[in-house]
Amino acid sequence: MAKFGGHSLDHAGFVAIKDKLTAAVAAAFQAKLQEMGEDAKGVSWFSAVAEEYATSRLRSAA
Amino acid sequence: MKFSFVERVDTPLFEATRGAWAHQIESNSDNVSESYYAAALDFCGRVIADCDKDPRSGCVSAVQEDGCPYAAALIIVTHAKHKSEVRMLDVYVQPDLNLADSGPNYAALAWIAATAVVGCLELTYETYPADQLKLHTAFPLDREFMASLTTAIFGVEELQDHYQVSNAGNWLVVAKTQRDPPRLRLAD
Repeated sequence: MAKFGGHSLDHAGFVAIKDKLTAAVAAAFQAKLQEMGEDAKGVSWFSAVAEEYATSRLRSAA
Repeated sequence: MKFSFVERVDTPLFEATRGAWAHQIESNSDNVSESYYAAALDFCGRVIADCDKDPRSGCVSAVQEDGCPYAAALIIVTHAKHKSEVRMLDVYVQPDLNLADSGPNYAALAWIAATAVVGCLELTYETYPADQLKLHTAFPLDREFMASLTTAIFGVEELQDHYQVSNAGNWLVVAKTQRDPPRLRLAD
């Protein structure tokens, strides 16, 4: 009997684990945002003032 | 709270989003982000118009809460075919969730971001076939936030051998692991 080995993840394989992956990423992101607290304002995806926040944070750290 | 990824925002969804987001901005008199959203929506509108002419150059994708007529987030996505990569550029969340103006709703933001990243990763399989997804990290705190993606991907057992995650300048790169072509082998 012969089998094919060394498979890659194809689209169907990705779709099969997509919900699990999304939940894992969401949990990791939420934990990170909570850990960052006020600093989450410096993440450009979520904050209109990310650049100003990052700049002022760098200034205060200097 | 369940969100879905929209591969390509069409004009009706964009107009519904523009109207809903404008209403959210108006309802917050202390809003500091009005000019930010004006520029963001103007930019997205231009990308959508260009995408209608030539979808290969990229498009605006979205994350939409199930049952909601407008987008919770708009995402600029491009496809560099010659480099075999999909690039996730700017992400704009709806004004009600923007941390510049509102109290933090980390759960909603986390699910929106996760839906966006996984949706863009799926684009690399059929819509925009590519070897890797690159996420733009404009600022140091972007990189700090995105680093948690690495832990999440490698925490899913089925995926551990299928991706490599690395930093390259202002990008976080999620690359598909290159495998040897299938080989015929003897089984017991």
